[in-house]
Amino acid sequence: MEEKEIIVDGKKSKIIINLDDDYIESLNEEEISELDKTIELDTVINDIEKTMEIDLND
Amino acid sequence: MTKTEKMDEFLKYYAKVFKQNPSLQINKETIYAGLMNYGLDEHEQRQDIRPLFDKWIRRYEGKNLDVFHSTRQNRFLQFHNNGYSKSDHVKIYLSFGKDDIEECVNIIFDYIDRNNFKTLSKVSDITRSDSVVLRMCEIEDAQKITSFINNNEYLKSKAKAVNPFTIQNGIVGMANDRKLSYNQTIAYLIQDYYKGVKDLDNVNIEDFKQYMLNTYNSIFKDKSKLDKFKKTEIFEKYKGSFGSENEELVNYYEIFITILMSLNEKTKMEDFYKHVNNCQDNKKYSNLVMHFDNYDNERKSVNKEELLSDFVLYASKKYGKRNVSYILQGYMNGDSNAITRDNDFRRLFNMHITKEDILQITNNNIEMFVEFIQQDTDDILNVFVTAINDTYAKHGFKQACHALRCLFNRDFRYISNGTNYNRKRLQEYDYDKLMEVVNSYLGNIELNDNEDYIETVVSHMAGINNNMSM
Repeated sequence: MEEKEIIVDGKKSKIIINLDDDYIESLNEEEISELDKTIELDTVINDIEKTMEIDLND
Repeated sequence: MTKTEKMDEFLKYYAKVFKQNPSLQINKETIYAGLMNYGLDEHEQRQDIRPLFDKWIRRYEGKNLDVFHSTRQNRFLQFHNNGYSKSDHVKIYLSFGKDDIEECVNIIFDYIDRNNFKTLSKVSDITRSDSVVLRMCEIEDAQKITSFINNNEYLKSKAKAVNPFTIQNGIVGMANDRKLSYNQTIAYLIQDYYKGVKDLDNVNIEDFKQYMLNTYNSIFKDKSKLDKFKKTEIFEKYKGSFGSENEELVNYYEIFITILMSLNEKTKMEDFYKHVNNCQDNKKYSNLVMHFDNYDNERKSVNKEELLSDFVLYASKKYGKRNVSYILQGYMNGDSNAITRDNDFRRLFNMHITKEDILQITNNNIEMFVEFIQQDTDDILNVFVTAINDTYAKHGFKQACHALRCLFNRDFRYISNGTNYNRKRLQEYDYDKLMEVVNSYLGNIELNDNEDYIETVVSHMAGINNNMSM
């Protein structure tokens, strides 16, 4: 992890400019390989786009 | 402060950081770290809680939860319990200060353990806005644990704010991200948004929402930026974790929808759970993969030059030759509506033809290309009409009809060669191109019921001998 001193609105502060990968909160390789076993790619045809679509207009 | 105000504040603060420190590069690591430290004062950020790992391991020995440290993810302690039955989970983020996190984690995981919930959870070795990440297999369990947490006065009193770009439910933030990282995706999108704005002073949440919607549409709906997205660092980085590019793409598709939901303060929890339920459905996932596979296959089968030529011919006829260059220029300047929907041209152009393609195919001279295509077509049409008419003049109506019938079957033998070498010239053209021009011309000839098509066409051609323009 690499930090740098910055100034925002005249105030000094520190900011991270480089982050090691192990900080990233995602699945690790073991978990991913376990998950792969659960995914069976069946091929049933549906209009899937419609079922996944979320209407954002409000 | 509302969730929207918090997101707005975050965006404006980091816009200021980059604007007022021009030597600082806009990068997603800085944004990610900002999200990671969100809600914690400077002295509370990244405080070491690793010594608690052993305590938690001992606490859950012999219990339902398997608590262990994996060197593959060194900075987190894993809390697992039969969590692999689903390929996506309800993700629940929690943040606590260093002095409170031990007891809070105990309360939360005691409840999960007691109820034997299926989970793939983890706790970070430092304080951060997502130091506790619960991944619940079952939506019902996620509902129970969030209800438990949000009704626990002790947890509520100790909780710190979580990343405002997640779906907020009381003191917890929620998302779902299958194999990828939701927070990293958000960080990438914010930095991409910053890089695209004209002035960082104008950054705001409403503008970011619009950026997000446009980005979602251009990658997943009209797909005009799909290829570009597949080349981004965030996409390249995780290729190895998926069986195919499109499996990864669908994972991002799911995350983008979650992000869009989180940006909308009116999103209901039931909508979010419905989305997770969809994401957990492997058939739906595989259908989405297939949707993008089909798209790739369709693209591979299209000849771009042919498509552009077809359009030029059609548009010349519909709008006049002179306007075709303007139409293509408009498309190249980003106006996809410049292309007519007729013959599915607009969708095909959006899918296959880029500005660079047009420049390359036309050799950077659209007007010349249009002229060339049109000239070529006119030549073919002239030779065709002359050939049929010469055959009619020399051998009569029946022979002319027979010659045309045979021509449709790639047989040129009955065309009179005459003094114009019609047969030879017709044979020299690309047959598909010849048929395209012929069919386009013949398509304008009206046919009455019970009339023989070929005979009608030959009669008509003989009658319009002096007018051969399309």
